[in-house]
Amino acid sequence: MARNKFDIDENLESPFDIRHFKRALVYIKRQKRPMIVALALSVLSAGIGLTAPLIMQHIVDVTIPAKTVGALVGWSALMLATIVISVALAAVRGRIMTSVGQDIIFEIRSDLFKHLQALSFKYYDDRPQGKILIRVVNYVNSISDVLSNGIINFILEILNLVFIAVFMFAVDVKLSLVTLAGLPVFALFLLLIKNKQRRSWQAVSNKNSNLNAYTQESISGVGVTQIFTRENRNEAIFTRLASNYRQEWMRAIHFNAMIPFTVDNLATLVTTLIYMVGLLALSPQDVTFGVILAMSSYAARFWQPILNLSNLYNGFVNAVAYLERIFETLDEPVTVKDAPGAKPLPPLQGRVTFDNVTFGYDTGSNVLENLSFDVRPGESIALVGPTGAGKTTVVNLISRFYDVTGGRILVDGHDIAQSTLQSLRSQMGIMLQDSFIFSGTILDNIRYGRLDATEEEVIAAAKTVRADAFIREFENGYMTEVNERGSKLSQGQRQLISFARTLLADPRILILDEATSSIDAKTERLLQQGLNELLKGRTSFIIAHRLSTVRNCDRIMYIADKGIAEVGSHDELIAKRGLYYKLYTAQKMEMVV
Amino acid sequence: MGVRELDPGELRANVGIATQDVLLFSDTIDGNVAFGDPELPEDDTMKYAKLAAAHDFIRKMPEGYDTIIGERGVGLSGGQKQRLALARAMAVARPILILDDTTSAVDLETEAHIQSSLNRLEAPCTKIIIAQRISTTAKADRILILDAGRVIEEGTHAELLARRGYYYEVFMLQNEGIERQVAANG
Repeated sequence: MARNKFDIDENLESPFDIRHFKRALVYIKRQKRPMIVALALSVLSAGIGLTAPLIMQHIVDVTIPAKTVGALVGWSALMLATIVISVALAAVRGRIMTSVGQDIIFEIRSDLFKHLQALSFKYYDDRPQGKILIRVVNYVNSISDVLSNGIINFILEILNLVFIAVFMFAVDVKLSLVTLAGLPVFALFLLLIKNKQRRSWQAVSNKNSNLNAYTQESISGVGVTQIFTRENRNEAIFTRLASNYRQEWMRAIHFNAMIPFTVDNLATLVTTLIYMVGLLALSPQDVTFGVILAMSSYAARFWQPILNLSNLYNGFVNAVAYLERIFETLDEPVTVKDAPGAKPLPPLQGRVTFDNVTFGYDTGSNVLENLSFDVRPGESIALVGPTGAGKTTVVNLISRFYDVTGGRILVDGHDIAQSTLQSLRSQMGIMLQDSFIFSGTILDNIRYGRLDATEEEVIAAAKTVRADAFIREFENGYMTEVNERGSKLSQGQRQLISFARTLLADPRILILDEATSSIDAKTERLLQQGLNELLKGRTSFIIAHRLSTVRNCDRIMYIADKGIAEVGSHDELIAKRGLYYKLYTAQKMEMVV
Repeated sequence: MGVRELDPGELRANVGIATQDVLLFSDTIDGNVAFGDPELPEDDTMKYAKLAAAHDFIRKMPEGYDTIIGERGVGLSGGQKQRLALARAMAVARPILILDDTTSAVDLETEAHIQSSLNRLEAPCTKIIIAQRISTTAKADRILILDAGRVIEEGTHAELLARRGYYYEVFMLQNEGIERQVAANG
């Protein structure tokens, strides 16, 4: 699928698939026991409710004429009891079913989240976050009632229908058939609008998704909007998306409303037919007028459960539009995953080999082609070159955030595609331009690298990477509370904390992607010392534009034109007077004094 | 007139900003560059992309300017995102342009291109450039060194180097090696 933006509908071309509902049944089946209890309670509650008229009849016909006060009080109490019990049972059923509904959506949601965490970057690159979020939060919510109460009510209404049909046939078979004659007409009608109805609910879910995506993006980008004074324009876009949603909702409701309307008319029509057939076509010997009256009353009762069923059907069609989306997400293939029979990597030395690696984010355009190199354990490699040449791609492939399109990547001779992701990534340290600080103390933040590290170990790590001095300058030292945005700390300080964290985790392979690019000059020297300590004995890949960071590396690879254009030590490349030389003499500035 | 006395909307309508933390939208590249002025003709979008040294990589993308980029610019490198943010800020052509560490992830050759573009902007425009790299600030008319909210040094690149103060120290630190290497091999 092409990349999506907020106002492009994510169309689902597949025809309706009954398997969606079967898959939902898997979740429903896990709730079998409480659902059966609830169903039994419903039947019991209805049954007890039905005894009230019988008691009433007994009181009127027998107890009152007999004038026995004791019996009257007794029967009245019994009648009151039936009503109280019936209501109480209904309440218990409601409670059970609410919990069933919540359990079902809880499980679907957990499965969705688990799956989302396994999906590759590509999935997230291709669509706005808001469109993913709405599936986990809103869509799942919308199906809870249909999958719990909807199922129970469906069974009850079917039972009710069968019950009335039996009574009806017992009274008169011919007129019963007349009543049933409405059914094929109704079925035909449902068949006719089925697709339109399904499409319209899909449209509702699409427009809802678009609206959500735009709202979410607008909130996270509100700073940019204000800087560019684009508030009015954005409001117009929002209004358009919101009115699209409203319009599709009204259209979908229009189809929904047609169904009970049809049922009501058919019921009336069938009643009329009963009179006409009963009075005109059949002789009075066959049917008495009493039978005709009874049958018209049954016909009305027969069509009531059908009306209820059709409302349930509407809810079901609506829920399917959401179920499709939920299962589509659950079916999204996990592209980067452990191969069948993948083996965990042993503790690594840190040799990294690219063997004819080809890779492209989108099919048809390769970022890297036939890239081969071999990095010894403990060697530090700087990746330089024009922006967008593929430096970040190289390091993303080593951490297997994407799988290679061609060739192999070996770590200590093991093909990473045949190794478990966990064993690979747990032996790697990755530091990005923006080092993440969690809310908690500085101590916690460093310890995040290895949760069982002692305080002494944390402090030792901080000392090694030169972070100890600035941490001690804080009033509370290591116990200083910092927050997610790390606002108390400068970029350089955050980076030093992240160095300490990584040192504690003690990875064999280190990746630094522009980790030093926005650091103030004062911190830079400190950072360079800290970095040198961190790099000792580890294989490292460093993407940087700063000469001070790059020139200390064992080897420098200049990435351009889908591969390595130049490789060598700083001195060798300077002597070569090629691309690297050009890049870095650009940085040389005249001393105009 | 103090900025507090101005209406924020009116004030911002005169300022173009490219921030350190680049935030792009799930829209086409064209839509992102023309974010501040959606009516911007396509030729102008291209012109500003060229000025921001973004045209070449945009052209290489599968659908060029119509390529939809992910939310927050996923799929683009750090330097590419920064250049789109720069094009976006230049495209509004406002009297004041603020670049907050906008070229930190851009290689030096590209940065040199961007700097010459900034000097070639058609409309007269006050540029405020925030940067850590001396190469970014060297061409500025005036350089202010801030420390804890106060200006500690001020002057042109040459003046500040002559002063042998903080700026000079940073310059030497960042140029360390280049001078030596170039001298040794040159």
